[in-house]
Amino acid sequence: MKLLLLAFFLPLTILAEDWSHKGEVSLQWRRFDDDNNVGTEDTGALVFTRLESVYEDEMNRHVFRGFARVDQKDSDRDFMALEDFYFSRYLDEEQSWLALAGYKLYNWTATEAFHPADVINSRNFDSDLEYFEKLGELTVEVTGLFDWGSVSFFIWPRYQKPQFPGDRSRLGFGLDLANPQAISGSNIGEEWTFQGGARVGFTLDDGDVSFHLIHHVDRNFPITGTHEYTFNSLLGRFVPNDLNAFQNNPTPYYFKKTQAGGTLQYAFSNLLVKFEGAYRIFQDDVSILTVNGERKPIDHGEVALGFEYMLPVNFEGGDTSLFLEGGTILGTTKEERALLGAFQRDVLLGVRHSFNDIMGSELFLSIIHDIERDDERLYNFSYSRRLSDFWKVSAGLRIYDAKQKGTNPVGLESLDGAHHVLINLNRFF
Amino acid sequence: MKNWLLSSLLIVATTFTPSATFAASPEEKGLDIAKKMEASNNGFVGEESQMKMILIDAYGAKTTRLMKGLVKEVQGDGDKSISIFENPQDVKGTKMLTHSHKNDDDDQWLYLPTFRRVKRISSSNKSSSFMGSEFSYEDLGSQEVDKYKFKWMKDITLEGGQKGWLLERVPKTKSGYSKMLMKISSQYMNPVEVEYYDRKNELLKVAKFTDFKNFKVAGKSMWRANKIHMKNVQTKKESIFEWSGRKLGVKHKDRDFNKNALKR
Repeated sequence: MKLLLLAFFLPLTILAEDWSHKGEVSLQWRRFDDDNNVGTEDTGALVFTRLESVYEDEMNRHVFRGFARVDQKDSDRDFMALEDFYFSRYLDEEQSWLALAGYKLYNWTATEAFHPADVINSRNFDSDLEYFEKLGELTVEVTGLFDWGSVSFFIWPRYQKPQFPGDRSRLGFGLDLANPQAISGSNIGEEWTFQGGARVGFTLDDGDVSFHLIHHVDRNFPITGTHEYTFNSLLGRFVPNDLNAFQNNPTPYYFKKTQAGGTLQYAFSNLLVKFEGAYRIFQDDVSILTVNGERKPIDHGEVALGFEYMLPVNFEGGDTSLFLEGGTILGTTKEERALLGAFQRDVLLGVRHSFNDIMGSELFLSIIHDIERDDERLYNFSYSRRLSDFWKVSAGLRIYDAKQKGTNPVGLESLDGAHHVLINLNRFF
Repeated sequence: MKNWLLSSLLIVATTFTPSATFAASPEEKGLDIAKKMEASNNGFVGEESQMKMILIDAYGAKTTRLMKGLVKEVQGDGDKSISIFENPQDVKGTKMLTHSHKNDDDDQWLYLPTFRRVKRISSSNKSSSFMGSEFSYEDLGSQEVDKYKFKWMKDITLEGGQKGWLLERVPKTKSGYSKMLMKISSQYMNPVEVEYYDRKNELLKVAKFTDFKNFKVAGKSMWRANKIHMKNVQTKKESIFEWSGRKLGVKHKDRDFNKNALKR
């Protein structure tokens, strides 16, 4: 399908006069704290490439963007993804209605670390925990653009599978996950399935507001295990039909859900208030056997509230912003929340300092602290600056501190000890 | 035609010559000049241009930023503008949308193309540097008359023999400056030099406006400086803002200055 679209769109891109392009090539190196495990790769050294091409005229717009990475040390990280690959056209001379078709990357977030409302695209889970890379979703979209805001209607006919780290990755689960499966009602593994929704966005006074209602295959709360299992009366419990696959290559299952949610960004002088919220109702016709027993998806709510405050004083001409953000899952027990994700009830405290110098130097420090589960923290330090108009360098340190407390790791515990430093050298063009 | 021309010249002469400002106090006279300056620059409808910003550090090293600028004039409130960054390459495609207001903080949004994200940003810290330059957001933002107190200091003769005025401008709301001293050209009805004083009332920066070009929009004549040279006298850094391909009278659609339009 993607190749067909590529064959259709690429000639348009090359022939068009009103097109622009940009891209980057990055050398990325990371080194993890040694875990004394020969089965994992503590060093990563990769080449990352992103290309973007845009054609635009009065009525039409066509965007292609994708990235690829090749890791010299861990071939499981080799990956190529389509982010945007769509054609859009105004339906009327007034340019009030816009139709779009193709693969598209959405960003519905209002907050910095916790994203209850930003759920459309599948993620590459071998990337930053707070900002996973997204994969384009096949989309048919119609948007009404009005002076007061916009209304969009979506159909997503195909479930795009997420990308997981391999068994050698320090950011993975120590095993190779099987191909992710979508569950729609009692159907398992169907990639082509009806998904759709609507979103309205508008500006109210000094705030930006949006609401959405979507029905789609969830991308953030997989249940990992197997759907093929039986009850063993001798053992008195459920057992997988294929024990080897269950233990070494379990399958992440994504359930279809209906989600209603919204976002808010509001400016009070130097303070920005950000909110995201959503409530999810899952189709739970199928149960999954996991290492923690038989499970079904749990209906729940999720909210995130954030504050961003720009200090009114400048330090040596630079700007400093403070971030405070909290996110929680509601309508579940503490144990259920822990199974749902890494950030089930957490607080982020961060500071960003832009030096406002010619080279755009910037320092960012943050800590994410779990306020419900003991001793779970993620520290992040990063610094970036330009070397020229085309080159940029960045370095960072991430510390995962989340000791395993039960028999099996849950949430952030699976990343405990995956401390690493990273250096990126980017060439933009 | 001759009558019309004569009438026009008479109106211009009585309106824009320094001696024509008969307001009673220096404050009233200053406000009168500021309002005339604003009136003479209004009516441009919309603008688009290519912008180049040259940053010069204290040792003379230079670097260049490129942008595209779009402005839509709004009657009764501040203007709406979009800056599209083209260089340096890591921020290429980044867009900043500003809805300026006469009596309120501006609304600002930033479009981050890497993340396909539109983010509302705080616009109240106006003294922040714009892209590492010696220009602050306040310098480049709306200069609505209602946001300042004015005081006429004296009539002056500018370089080249032009007549003009020296005005003191004091911000009414939160600002990075305690005051500005502006040399206004009566011909261009625009500042040709501005001295910016910091909150300690010490001279911070001096901006010189040059390369004035005349535009006609719907029969109305107006001037725009195509170059501003800003020198920070405290840090010895300099920045030069240059406009090229500037068009006035461009009719932009209102919804092109909506935050939803940034993603397009």
